[in-house]
Amino acid sequence: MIDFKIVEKLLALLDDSQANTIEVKKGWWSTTVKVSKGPMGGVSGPVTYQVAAESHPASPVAAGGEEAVEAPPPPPPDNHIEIKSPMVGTFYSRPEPGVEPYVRPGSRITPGKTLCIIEAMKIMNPVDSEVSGVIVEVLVEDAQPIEFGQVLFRVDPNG
Amino acid sequence: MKYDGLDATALSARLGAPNCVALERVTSTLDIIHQLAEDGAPHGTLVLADEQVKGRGRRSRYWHSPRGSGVWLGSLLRPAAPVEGGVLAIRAGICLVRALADLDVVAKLKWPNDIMVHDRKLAGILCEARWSGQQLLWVALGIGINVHGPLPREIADRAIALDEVLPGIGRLKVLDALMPWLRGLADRPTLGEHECFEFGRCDWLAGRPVLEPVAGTAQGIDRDGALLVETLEGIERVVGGTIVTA
Repeated sequence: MIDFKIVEKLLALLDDSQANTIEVKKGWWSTTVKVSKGPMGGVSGPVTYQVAAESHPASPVAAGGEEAVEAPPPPPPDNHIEIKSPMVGTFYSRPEPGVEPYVRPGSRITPGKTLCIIEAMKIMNPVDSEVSGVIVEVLVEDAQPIEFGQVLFRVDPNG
Repeated sequence: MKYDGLDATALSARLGAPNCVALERVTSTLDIIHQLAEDGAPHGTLVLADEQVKGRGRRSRYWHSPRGSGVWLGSLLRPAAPVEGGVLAIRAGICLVRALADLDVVAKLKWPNDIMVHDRKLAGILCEARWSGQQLLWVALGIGINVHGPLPREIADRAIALDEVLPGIGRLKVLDALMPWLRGLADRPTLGEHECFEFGRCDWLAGRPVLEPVAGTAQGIDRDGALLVETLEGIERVVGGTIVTA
């Protein structure tokens, strides 16, 4: 299994560094985690990340090469737009507990529509849409910590 | 409307604000700041309300703000250069601690910016940013300071009014002490060493066990304003969520 705390730390480390890839091996019995900046990586632009996990065999007898322990999620259809987090913080899907979320799968959005709030140190930052379309997927749970560049929503612009 | 005997022009002059609006009753001073910002109001615009009927804290938690009993303040910040959000939040808290020190009140800061006196909350700060794509348009800073008690019984064990420790204090005296400190709030993009030192001196959480959002012991802040918590796996940076102590 991927230890997501380790992945979070690696992503933060990668963010602050000039390196494009960080690989951590905890031991022959353990998992190797490798994170790489995607093609959009840069100082000011949004960054995409690739995370790969490899599990090393528990014993040499069972060795048969490296084995991926988690299959990458299927890529979204080419025409879908990913809306990413502009900052590190806590994701809130609704303005306050107990009320309707700003959007849910199937919601039609237009530019300027508020999609969520990201809280970072008691500063509430609404994230507004810059595109039109239909929300296909909300990838983050309410009140979940999120990283810079993490995909929050998938939008079908032709929906 | 007159605010403790002063109209908006006199308040602007006394408090050194380029634009001051005094209102009898508002939903929240933050709402008025956002409206004024949309209309092009300048950096430093100040809103003072006698009463907030929907004063709010994090996650729209109700902030008790009855008529005439506290400083219910909104301030418009249009940072000239990019400023980390956490820096503004921490710095606003430090400003309030400095202002209280000028009034001879020793206050502590519970990360990021709750103001504690005698382990009870005296004041709260909330910031709401507005963005256009990746560009920060403005930050509405809201400050609520309990000045006159008594507070409702249901919050009296965890909240405090300033006149409990400073009998006879008035709202204008609080504002006189606070406003000079608030003026430089958005001037510098990162926390200076002195600000980190000041935070450390009044850090209410320092050394306390923290249960959430991560379990460990609070160990101060870093230069970006993130809370540092020592966990079994090392130091973790916390930038959001609700801090729950043991």
